[in-house]
Amino acid sequence: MGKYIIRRLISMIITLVFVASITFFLMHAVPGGPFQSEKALPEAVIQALNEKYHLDDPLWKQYLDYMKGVFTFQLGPSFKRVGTTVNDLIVAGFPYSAKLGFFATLAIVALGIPAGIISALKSNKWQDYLVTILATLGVAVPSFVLGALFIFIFSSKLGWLPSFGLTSWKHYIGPVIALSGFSLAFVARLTRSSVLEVMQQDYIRTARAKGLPEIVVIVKHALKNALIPVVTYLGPMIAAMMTGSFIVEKIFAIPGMGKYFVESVSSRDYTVLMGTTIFYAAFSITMIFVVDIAYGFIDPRIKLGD
Amino acid sequence: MTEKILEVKNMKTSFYTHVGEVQAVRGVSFHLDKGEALGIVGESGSGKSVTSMSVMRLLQYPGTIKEGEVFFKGEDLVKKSKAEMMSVRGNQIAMIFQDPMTSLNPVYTIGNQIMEAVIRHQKVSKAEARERAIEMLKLVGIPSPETRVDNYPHEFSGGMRQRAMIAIALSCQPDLLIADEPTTALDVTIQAQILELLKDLKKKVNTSIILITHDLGVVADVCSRIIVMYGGLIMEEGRAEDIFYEPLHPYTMGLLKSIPRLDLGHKQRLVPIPGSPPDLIKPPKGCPFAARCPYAMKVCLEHQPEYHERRPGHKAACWLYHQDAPTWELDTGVRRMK
Amino acid sequence: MTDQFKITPDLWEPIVIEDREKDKIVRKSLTYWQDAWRRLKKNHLSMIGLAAIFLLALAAIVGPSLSPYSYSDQDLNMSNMPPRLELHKLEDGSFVHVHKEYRLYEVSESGEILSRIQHTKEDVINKTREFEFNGNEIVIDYKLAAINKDVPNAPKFTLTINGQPNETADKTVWNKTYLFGTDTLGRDIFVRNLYGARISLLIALVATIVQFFIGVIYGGVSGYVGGRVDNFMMRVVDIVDTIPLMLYVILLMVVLGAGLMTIIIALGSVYWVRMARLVRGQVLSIKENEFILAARTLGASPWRIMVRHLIPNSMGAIIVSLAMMVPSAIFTESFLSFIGLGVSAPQASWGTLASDAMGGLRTYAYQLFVPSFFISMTVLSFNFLGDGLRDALDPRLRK
Repeated sequence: MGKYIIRRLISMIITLVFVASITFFLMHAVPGGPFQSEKALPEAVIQALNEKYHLDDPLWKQYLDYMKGVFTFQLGPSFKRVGTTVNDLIVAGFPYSAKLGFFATLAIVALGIPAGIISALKSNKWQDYLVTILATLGVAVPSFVLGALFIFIFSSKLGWLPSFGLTSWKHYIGPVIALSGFSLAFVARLTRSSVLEVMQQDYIRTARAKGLPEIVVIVKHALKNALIPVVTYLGPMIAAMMTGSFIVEKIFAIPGMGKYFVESVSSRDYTVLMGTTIFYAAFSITMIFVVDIAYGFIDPRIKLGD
Repeated sequence: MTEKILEVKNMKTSFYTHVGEVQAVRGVSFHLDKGEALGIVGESGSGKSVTSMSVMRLLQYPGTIKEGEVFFKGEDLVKKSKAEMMSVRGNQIAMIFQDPMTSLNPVYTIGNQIMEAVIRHQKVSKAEARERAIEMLKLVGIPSPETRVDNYPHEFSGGMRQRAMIAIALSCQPDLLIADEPTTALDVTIQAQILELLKDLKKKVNTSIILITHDLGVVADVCSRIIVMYGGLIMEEGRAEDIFYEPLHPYTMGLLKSIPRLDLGHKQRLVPIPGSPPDLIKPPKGCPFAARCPYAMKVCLEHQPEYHERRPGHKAACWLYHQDAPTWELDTGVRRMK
Repeated sequence: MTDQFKITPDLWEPIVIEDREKDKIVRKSLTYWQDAWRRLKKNHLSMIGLAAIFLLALAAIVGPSLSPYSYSDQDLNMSNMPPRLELHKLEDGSFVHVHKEYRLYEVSESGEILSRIQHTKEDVINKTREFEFNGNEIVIDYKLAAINKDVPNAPKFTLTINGQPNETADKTVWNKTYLFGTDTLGRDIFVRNLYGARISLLIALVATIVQFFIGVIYGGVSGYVGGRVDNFMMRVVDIVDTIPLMLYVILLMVVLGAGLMTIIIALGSVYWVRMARLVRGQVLSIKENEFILAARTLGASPWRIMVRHLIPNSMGAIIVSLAMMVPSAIFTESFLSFIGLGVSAPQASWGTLASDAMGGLRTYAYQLFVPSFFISMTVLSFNFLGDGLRDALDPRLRK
């Protein structure tokens, strides 16, 4: 296991360098530079700005400086918000995004998995139909529609719940639903088909033949096997939620990282764009690593280190 | 008089599917004496597995026991509640299945899977259960049982997995062990080992055994009595010697002719039985084997044959043995009317 | 058995051959594809999905030319008209509709918008507007709007016709002039959504095709060649795939600038990794089959083996994957539009239409729901179709 972890860490670092490099070169491929789109600045000012931010250094030097910065967590200043660094924005925004993501994940695990299990065990009865229909619809509705619908119904028409910010627990409901919707539906479907398949397996028959009560058969024998494919989905799911958070934070005006990311796209604030992208990448890489380790613990057939 | 440990009376089991009622078992009666090994032989679809699943009440929706009684140690299992059956299964009657790789849960250790049966039925401590698990592994011939008990199924070879299954089955010292095609998924040499093991255990532990298979060669060694099933009904029943040396039913004869034998000269051919098994949704009203039987008569299509008992313990369901039936010279196929 | 029947002598007759059931060939043999199509047809949900996709494609191609409006025709007088109109009846039998921005329109009884009635007087301080129409004096008082701003469902204005207050609408009809209403610039939403269908479907299909080609070639080569090359190629895929692919797309879009072509390029050049993984897996498992060995022995070149044997045998899994990639592309495109990286005006995709509608969501919710409905319908249809394809093409389920 130890060797595996070390190999993974190395691979993670390589990936991060790769992603950071691509990000860097892509941003520097944009014609014009970061100050071009401003209300036409006089040449001299542009020159001075370029000097100040080292934008006139040779490319390779800028690249190395930037890479150094990435690994020391100094992602540079924001060009559009003068006085703020990218770090500041990340530090300010990440807690909100993290809280949102955490509760969304909680919702998915606490609602989606049980829904899938119940749906599988009560196959072809009303519980199954209900879950299946909701889940089928859930994967067809984009998160911004969910969010907008939520605001429309619960804020505009009914006035029950607030529609922006994250200050009270009530504020969480809409964003969490919008963010988790798709993945919740997907996990429910995945769990359902996985449980159905596992219940057909021979070892379930053996467990019953041993005289174990049905509850033990389901919880001990079936579930552990059925959840394996669900755990493998967690990695991509986290990725999906990260990108989903852009939209949700924008719609619900939550001051998380996603909001800054989206803003940097429209305002072409390149350092913020680069910095947040790399941060997202690093986060995603780490989470996938964690999931893989967890997976190794659940399924004894997987020998980590192969 | 030997004690009957299992007596099945006119059991009928059907599966009520959306395409219709599949009558898998259509009236089967047999018994098993204590300490005996009974073989149930038949091809796929004959009803042999469904019979054993019915005895254990392991049928899943949409299968149910339509009719019949199953007396185990004097009590009718069909009438027992679910809770009562749970204490019978694994405890008094145990079952092992065909494919040991898929029949063992891949995410738990072998030891765990033995121990859970012991703990559930015999209320011992975990430490005692573990001791018992190691003992059982030793009994079935698995080397280094103290370490092996913590292995996972995928770390065992095919033959060892089946041994482990037997260990699980016998861990609570059941009175009856039902083995459903235990060797079909294994290599021939491993097959022989497992059968030896079963014989050995029968002697050591004095379990009664029902061995279900499609392979007559497998039952020849282990079983003292054999039942031949076809189309959901019993075609012939008798001692092993009766079945092999004096088969009465044309189906049994067909089965014997289709087994590869060392003593067949090189000019003699294997004779397969032509045709395929009957449709169990619309089962034939006469003898189920009539469509494939070389000696079939019109009466065979119309009415199910009665049992003819050649001698006590050896009987066959065939119209050939009716008093009015014409005689056939069964080897040459010549037929003489009475 | 105590049967009452009598066994008559004729029953001892042997059975003639015709009485037996012989081994009948029960059904004619079908090729893999025929069997798959047959199975797919039986899946009603999939057939509905397929039909819906056809209809949608048809509407997208033909629809805009059938509409009296083009997607870019603006009429600021008619901005933000809803698809359902609440009508108030005047004494002379004509009907008027009060717009959310307190404009007044004459509408026919069946729902055709006849004309806009300009106000004759506007009092901004008292928040009233007066209209004169066919001899009627109509006053709209919108003081309530500010008072009831956050109260849902409360009336925002009072309507007085010839001195009589007119509380509730007399009739609610479908808007016959603009089927789904208009947007902020007075453009017909129906035709814009049909046009958006063109764009969104085009993006999704072309991007999927690009992903298909790149992915199949990359995955096919990697799987076929195997060994160190395969290891390396898959390592690259792993590295690319570890982070959310959307990030790459966004970066690319920022570099390339938003637009129809760039979206297609960006989507195609990032998501092919999914297809590559799939194809490689398929190739690896098919490679071991003996007919491949036979082809090699006969001297077939690797290219020929790939194209004639490996790819066709993977087509089942590839097709299912393609069917699932289209909805994914539609989602991604709509997300991009939401962030501001969609096609540029006046072109419209469902994503940009949805994004544009967000501003007026409280008052003009229909503007969001129309494109959302189209997106969901399309995604659902492809999902149903994909599920059906997966079941139909699985060789293990052949009956």
